[in-house]
Amino acid sequence: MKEEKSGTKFSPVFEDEGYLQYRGDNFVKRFDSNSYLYITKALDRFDLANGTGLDKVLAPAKDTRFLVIAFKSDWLYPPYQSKDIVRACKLAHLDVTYGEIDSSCGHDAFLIEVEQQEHFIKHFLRRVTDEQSI
Amino acid sequence: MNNQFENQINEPVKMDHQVILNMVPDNSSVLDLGCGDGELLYLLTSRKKVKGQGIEIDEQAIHQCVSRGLSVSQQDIDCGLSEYGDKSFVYVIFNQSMQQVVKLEAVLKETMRVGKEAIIGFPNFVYYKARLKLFFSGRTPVTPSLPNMWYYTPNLHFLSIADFVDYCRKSHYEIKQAAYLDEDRLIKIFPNLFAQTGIFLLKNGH
Repeated sequence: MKEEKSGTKFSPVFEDEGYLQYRGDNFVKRFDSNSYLYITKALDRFDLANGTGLDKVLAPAKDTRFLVIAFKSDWLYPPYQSKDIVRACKLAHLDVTYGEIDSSCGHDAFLIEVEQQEHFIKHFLRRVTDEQSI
Repeated sequence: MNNQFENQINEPVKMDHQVILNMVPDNSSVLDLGCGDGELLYLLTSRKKVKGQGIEIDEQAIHQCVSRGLSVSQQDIDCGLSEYGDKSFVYVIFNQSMQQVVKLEAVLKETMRVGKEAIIGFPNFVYYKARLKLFFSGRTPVTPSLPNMWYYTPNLHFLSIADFVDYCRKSHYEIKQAAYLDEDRLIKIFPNLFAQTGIFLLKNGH
């Protein structure tokens, strides 16, 4: 614990608080936090399909093979959104494989369930390279 | 195809799979509903050079399909096939999985919409051994084609070959071809009594 100093009650008391305060002070000197507002807005407004259907945007990728992997407990990239991509691929008559990995690790699952992901990706890449070599 | 399933080419093909292989011409497009571990779809892609896709709900089965180099998606057939346009495939195959679907009538309609033709295979619930067991023991029959006890069977619909023929007539589906099987041979007479499995090639008569 650091020596009590006079100041507001939000001034750092613990060593790590002091460290965070120092990093935070430096950060705001070189970064305008308002830009976060622009970035989040840009993310919210980003529309790959640009008003049309995703299937129409994907349609030109005729010779591309798609592999979509989702994790059942992922709330950041939920399976239903991955299924939207799969659905668009199918509507566009594209070759798509979709696997849903059962995991309770939420969004972090992609860092943890390595074995299942490896299985999907390894065999998918093998198929794609086999097809190309024919 | 350089993978662990290469040897499958030399293994004996299951009777129902052989019948379906004979129904599908080379280079056609196929959607396999409830494709399981992909055994049939793999045979079709490797031997008949079909452009095949599979749908399966079980995660382990999907892994096996992917190992076989198949294009599959993990989804519930009961949620519909709305991502496929009308007549997107030459054949939609629904082999030994129909009886496990909840909203079967809706899924059958979708099957007939998405495929120009459909191949449907199912166990015949009134196979004579099943009838005898039912009659003499008074218990729900367990047979090679219906191998599970009532409390863990995945089957939700129990139908006979005659039931299915009636249904096709009522729904105006033309039966282009039908094959009836015992464990290891084709059944030619009284299929509703002697066949364990019926496989139908249907065309939408509308």
